[in-house]
Parts: sequence; structure tokens; C-alpha cells
Amino acid sequence: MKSQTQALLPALDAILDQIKSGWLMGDPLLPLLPTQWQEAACPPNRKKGAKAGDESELRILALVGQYQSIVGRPPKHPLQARPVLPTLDYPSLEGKARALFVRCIKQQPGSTNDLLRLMAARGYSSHPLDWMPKSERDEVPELYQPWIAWLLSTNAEQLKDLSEDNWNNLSTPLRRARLRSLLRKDRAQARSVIMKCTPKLGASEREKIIGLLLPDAEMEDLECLRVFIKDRSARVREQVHAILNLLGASYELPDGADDSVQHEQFKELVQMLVLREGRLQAKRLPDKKKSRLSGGLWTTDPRELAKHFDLTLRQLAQTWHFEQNKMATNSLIRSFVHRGLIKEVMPLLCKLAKQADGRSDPNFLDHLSPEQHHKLIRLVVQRADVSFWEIASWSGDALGSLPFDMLHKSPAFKDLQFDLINSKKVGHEATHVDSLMLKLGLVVDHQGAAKFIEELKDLEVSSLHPALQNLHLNAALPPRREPPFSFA
Amino acid sequence: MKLSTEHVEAIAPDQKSLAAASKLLKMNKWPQLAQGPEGLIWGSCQGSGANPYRVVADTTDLWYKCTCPSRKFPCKHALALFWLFAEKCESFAQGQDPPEWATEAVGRRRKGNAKADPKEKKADPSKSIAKASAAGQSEPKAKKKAPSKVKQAATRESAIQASYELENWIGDQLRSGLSQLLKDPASHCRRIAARLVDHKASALAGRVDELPARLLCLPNEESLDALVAELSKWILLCRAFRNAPDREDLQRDFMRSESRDQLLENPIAPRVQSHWEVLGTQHNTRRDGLVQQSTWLLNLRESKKARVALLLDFFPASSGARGSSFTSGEQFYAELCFYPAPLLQRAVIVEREACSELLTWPEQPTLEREDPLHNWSETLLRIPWAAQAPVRLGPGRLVNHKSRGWWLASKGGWTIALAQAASLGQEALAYRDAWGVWDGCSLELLRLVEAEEHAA
Repeated sequence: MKSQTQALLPALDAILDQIKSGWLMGDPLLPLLPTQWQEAACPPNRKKGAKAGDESELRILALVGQYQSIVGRPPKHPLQARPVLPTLDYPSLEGKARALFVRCIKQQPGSTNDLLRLMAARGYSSHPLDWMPKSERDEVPELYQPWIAWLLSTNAEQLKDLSEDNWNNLSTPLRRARLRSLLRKDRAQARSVIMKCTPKLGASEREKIIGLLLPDAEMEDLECLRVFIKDRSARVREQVHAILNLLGASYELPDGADDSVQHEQFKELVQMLVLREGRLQAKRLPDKKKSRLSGGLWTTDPRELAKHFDLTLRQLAQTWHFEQNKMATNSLIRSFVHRGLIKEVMPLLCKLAKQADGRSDPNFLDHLSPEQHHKLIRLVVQRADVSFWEIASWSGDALGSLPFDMLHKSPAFKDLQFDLINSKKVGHEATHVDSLMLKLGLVVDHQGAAKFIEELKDLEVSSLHPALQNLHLNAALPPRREPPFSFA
Repeated sequence: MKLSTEHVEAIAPDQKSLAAASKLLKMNKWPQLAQGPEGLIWGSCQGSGANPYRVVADTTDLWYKCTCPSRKFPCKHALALFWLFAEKCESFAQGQDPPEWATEAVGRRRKGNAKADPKEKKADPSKSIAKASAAGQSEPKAKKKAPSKVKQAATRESAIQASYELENWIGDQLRSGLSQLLKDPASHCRRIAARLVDHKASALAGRVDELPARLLCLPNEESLDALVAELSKWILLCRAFRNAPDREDLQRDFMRSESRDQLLENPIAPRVQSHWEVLGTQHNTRRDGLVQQSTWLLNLRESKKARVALLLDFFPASSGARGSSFTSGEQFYAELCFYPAPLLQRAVIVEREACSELLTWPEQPTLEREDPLHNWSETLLRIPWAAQAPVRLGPGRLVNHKSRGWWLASKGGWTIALAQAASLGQEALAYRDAWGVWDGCSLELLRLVEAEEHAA
């Protein structure tokens, strides 16, 4: 019976389509109906108030509508769901901490990355319904790389580990994302894939892929790097040289031409610098030359630079007059850091930590050892003119690790207390004071967060004040893993 | 500051407010009363709507916030909360963390508008707690006079006339072509809705008025089918009403609903005591300027009588955004009183209690597992003019396709159009189960349960 009804449906649907087209245009209904329908639709006696012909139309309309609602199901669309999201190394937040995180990112969307770093440092990740990276260009903690790969993938096959077999099935950004994950999971396999698959790519893509080796370069990478030392692109060769320099590995240049080009570049670079009264500094330069200087400093080995000015590496770092040209300073530091000359550049970093303003961008922190990073943060925290903005910016991966005592005694907290009292006197709340309390919530350790909430309550800040959100979140995140380093 | 009734007296806007607040001092009006840190108190007060009003206040500076639409500041609910705290602070549960809604209200609070010490206010002899309490005790509750039988008959007759008017109007639309109606549904519907209001068919008028908004949300190719389905339901409703104009459920769909008090006094209104879970809340701003807040509750104990309950509340859009009194996923014990109907759905909460035990959803019936829209068909068989029905979807995924969201069922490959596109996070997860509200064209998701491998 059911199958008989099913068989009738297409014919019925065709009649209904005809009827609906008639209604759409206002055509009379009865001529469109099959004969037996006409009898059923015509009422024996017309209802009060209804116009002639209306009754049968209304009856048919009522039936068609019901038929559509009950029998006419929405058509099935051939849809393909995305692959299921890969799980991350850390569990997602739950309960109170999750609600606090959602509130924090809703009210301070600009601090999302800092909050994610704080959570990652404690061993937690975001729930995908609360936050997800939206593009591979988002700067997010390394933890979220599998989600970036998911973003770029269109099927579950593409989320399998990268290999020579599936290399050609992936888009360029997805290859890079998968390679980044593979380098963390199985570096030897990643090197093998790079050596076999990369030479066929375009120069700029080769350069980007070699660049992925840079952050955690190790001696085992030498074999892979030597494949590219004679690369047909000068930019790729330059990058490989920088990594080899960083590893302190010896290598032979492919030909003399490069050597002479490098020599010319070096000559131009040193002409833009001047050693005067024991201070090495950049000359006054037009903007174009400034950026050439900055680029040159990054690719030049600081040992050669020191040798040219007859200085030791330490002296080079000590005598560098960093206030003169911030861009050049950053390049010089990167040049030291990427070649592993951290100890030698420490005097310059310490000077920077003591004097730099809030606009300085300490993008070299990842390369420091915990002890070196400690030393810098202590210098920053002790400064009289520093605020929690700078402390947060110099904390890097040490977000959420500074102890209560260290921060409580700091001039930054004294200033915060002073500003709070003043704003109460004036009778209105100062936005900058709120922002400082939010930053404090990012830098202090788990136990310190609870103590600061109490401390601020004594200063008549309600514990429900929105500026204490980060402190509350921090206090709700007991460390699930050993912090990258501890100040205790 | 120790709160006293003098403070309450001082902040009351007038004597009438105090008198109104005195009627809310009974503990059964307050399903929730609690106090937190730093003098913060909060509670839920059962008003005339299906959902209780939420009040949060600070006893240190007498700041308050209530979700009711009153234009008196403080409203009677805030006054009653202060008054209860001044007299019966032991009734407030202690040491609790403020709920999300209270924290949000405090977070939005501007310090600048903190009240000055009310004791500094000059004493106003026209307001007195003593008078308000005495009035509350001595004055018997004045009952609204029931409309006379003659008036009821006249109203019914007028509504029957409205049903003919609507049918004639539908006939006119068919004759002039539904394309004309689809071109400008707002002005066409407005005119007939106004005529229906004149004829006392306010509930039906509201439904007619909402049609343009529903059509506008749909892709062009679906709007004719949606229009035909809705006009069909109106015809069926008109005829059912004419056949049985005294049936309460038809009067509710055609004219107006009975009040909460009338429902509670109705001896045939079924009451169900059970363990409920909040599935979700929908907000719909209507053309008449009211916001309709629909809260769906799932009966966690197997029940054929009342599987899902719908709490409806209305408040003026001009009173601003108002959060729901319920949190999705929240569970509680409650006695619900259902509006009598062939299919029990709309209800009000009679009594509510917190629960410590957490139950899982009852097993999904086989027919629903095979066809996620089975409950929609069942609903239409009992109430052919039903506008929507809750549906349980079972396991599935969310997919965005051509800027529209879809539910893709794991079993049977059913695809159901969603009212909104899915977010990236929603698309990323697999779901073990879900509930939504289907209106014949699109599904509004109420609650999604993540598959276990992704559960936090």
C-alpha cells in the first residue's frame, strides 16, 4: 500500500506544480484540476459569505498546503560535511573558566591572542564553539596548528600526515601547515619530504618552506640544507646560509659570484654605520636606505661586522646606539639571535629592557633561554617608568608566570595603586587604569591572581569589576602542566 | 551599610510601588534568592509571565537591575528584594557565586550612577512601609470582573465574522495571483491583520502580520510553497474555529490566550511534575512592537503526555534587550500547568526547585530516528494549523552551503535547512544529538550535544 502511494507521488507533484503556477498568476483553478478532483472540490452548498468559486479553491488550497507540509519533505541535498576537527594536545576549558574566557574575548577581542597564550602556558585550549582561528595568517599559539590545517582542508584525507604521496593533493598553504605539524611530530620524515618535494616548487614557495626549518633548526637538518645550498634562487641560498650560520656549520659557497655580491653588500652596509666616541650607530639616512640597512643587518653575520670595526661581539652589542634607529636595532638583534649568539647580544637586550618604551617589539624572546628571559623580565619589572603593558609585552611565553611578590613590589603596581586612588578621588573611572588591571591579569601567576583580586578589593575595586576579568580567568586556570619556566 | 526598611522606604518612587512590593514578599513568589560577595543579592521573582523576572541589587549603595519592563525606578521587584533582605536576610542562600546574568548586569553598571546614601534623602511622609504592609494584609485581592455572557457571545460572533473575512481575502489573493502578494506581502498582510484585530481575532492577526517576515527570510524559490502552506493553515484554523468556537485551544489560536491566573484556576488544565531541561530560548521581535520569548523545556522522564513544554513571554521591544531567565542545558524539577489542547505544549511554571541529580535525554523513538521531522507530521495531524514543532534530530553535522546552514543527519542523509548559517566552530564538530524548532521551511537550532570524542 505504502509503495503504491509512493508511486503516485510524482504524478501528484506534477499536478500540484501546475496548480501552484496557476495560483501564482491568478488563473482559474477548476480547468487545471483532474476530473475526479473537480467533483471533490465543489461543495454541495456554498458557505455563508463565500464568493462563487472560492470554496473549491480554498478547499484545494487547504489540502495542497497540508500535503506539502506532511508528505512533501524538504529535498535531500548532496552535502559534504567538513572533516571532524582534530583534537589538540591540551583539553578545552570547561565550566566557570570557559564562561570567563568567553566573557573576556567578548569584551576585549584585541587581547584574544594573549589570553590564548596564557591558557596554552597553563595547559588548556579554547573550545571550538568559543574561539577558532579564522585564517592561516592568524598569529596563534603553536598548539592550534592542527586547527589551521583543518581550516585549509576540504576532506579528511588531507588531514592525514604529510607524505610524498599526498603532497600534490594539498593546496600550498595547507602543505605548509601540514609540514609545520610534521616538523614537530617527526622532523626526520619532514626533512625527507622537503628534500624530495620542494625542489620542484617555485622560488618563493621554496624560500617559505626552508624558512619553516629556521625556528628549531638542529644539526640533523644539515643534510637537508646542503641540498639547497646551491639552489638556483639567490634568496633561497641566502636563507640557507643564515640557517647554517646559526648552526655554526661550515659550508662551501657554490661559486665566486655570490661571494663578490655579498662583499659589495657588506661594503654598502658598513658605509651606513659609524663608530663615534665609542658608540656604533646608523648614519642619518633617507627612508629607502634605512630599510636597506635593516635588511642588510639581518643577513650579515655580526662576527664579520664586529671584525670590521675591530670590536669583539660583546663590544658590538654594548656599543650599539639603539635609540638612533629602532628598525636597524631589531634587525641586528635578530641577526645575533638567529645565529645563536644570545650571550653576546645580552648586554644590548638588557639596555633595551631598561630603557625601551611601550612601542618596542621584543620578537626575539622565543630564542632566549629561560634564565636569559628571566633576567630581562626582572630588569623590565624593576624599571620605574614601566607599566603592565610593557611587562606583558616582554613576558612572551612567560605570560601568567610572574609571582605576586615580584609584581606587588614593582613600581608598575605602585603606579596602578596611585592611579586607582586618584581616579576614585576625581569620581570617575579611568580607562587606562582598567587596561592596566587587565594586563596585570595576564602576567601574574595562578596563585598571585587570587591575591591581586583581594588586594584590589581593598582598594575598593569590586571583584565583579570588568577590569578584573583576566585576573578571574587566570585564577580559574590551575596549571595542568609545568610552566615553560618559573620565577619561584 | 546594614540595610533596613527605612532605606527601602526612602528609595521607593511612591506609596503605590511599596504597596505592590509588599505583595511580593511571599517566599513562594521567589524561586531563587541568594547573596554573594560584597553585598550583592539576587533573585528570580515569578511575575505574570511564564518566565520569572531576574533582579540583582547591591545592598551597599542600593544599586539594582531588574528584567521587568516597568518604568518605575526602582520597580516593585527590586523594592521587594531589598525589603526581603532587610527583614529576612536568612532566606537568602549564602556564599554563592553570582550567576552569569547577575555578573553581566554588574559588569555593565556605571559607577557614576551609584546612588547617594538614601538616608541623606529627605523623609517623605507620603511613603510608608507600615501603610503598605497594612494595606497588603487588609485589602482583599480585587478580582477582575469576568466579561458578561452577552459580551462573550458578541466577541465570538465578531471573531467568526473575521474568519469569513480572512477566507474572502485569501480568495481575492488567489484570483489576483499570489505573485502580487509575494511582491509586497507587508502592506497586503497589514491591511487584513488590521481588519482581524477590529473583529477581535487578535491572535490570528498577529500570525498574519508575521507572514511577511517569514517569507523574507526564505530563498525566492521557496517562498511560494511557504505561502501556500501558511494560507492552507489559516483556512483550516478558520473552519475549525467556526465549527467549535467555544474550544479553548481554538480561541487561544484565534482570539487571545487566557491569563496565567485563569489557566491556574482551570480545573481541566493538566499539570505535570517532572525533571526538566532547558533546551533553549528563541527571541522574536514582532511587528506589534512586542518581543516574544519562547523557552523550550524537555521532559527528562519518559512521558507520552508532555514530552516538551513551551514557556511564552512577551515584553515591549522598547524596554531593551532582556536575557532569558534560563540557561540552555540547565535542569530543574518543576510542576508545569499546560494550556489544554489536543497536543500539550504551551505551559507555565507553577513551582520550581533546583535539582542536584543530572539526567540524560530519554531514548529517541524509532520513528524519529528514521525521520527527524516525524514529530512535525505528528503535530500537524493533531493540530493541522500548527506553526512550528520541536524536533529531535539525532546524530549529525552542520554544513554551510551557498551561504545557508544545513543539518546533515548521520543516518539516512537527511538534510534540513537551518534558519541561520552555522558558525565555523559549529561546522567543526560532530553531534551526538540535537533539538530544534521546525516551522515547515527552516529549522532553528535549540541545543546541540557534541559527540563524545569532542565533549569537553
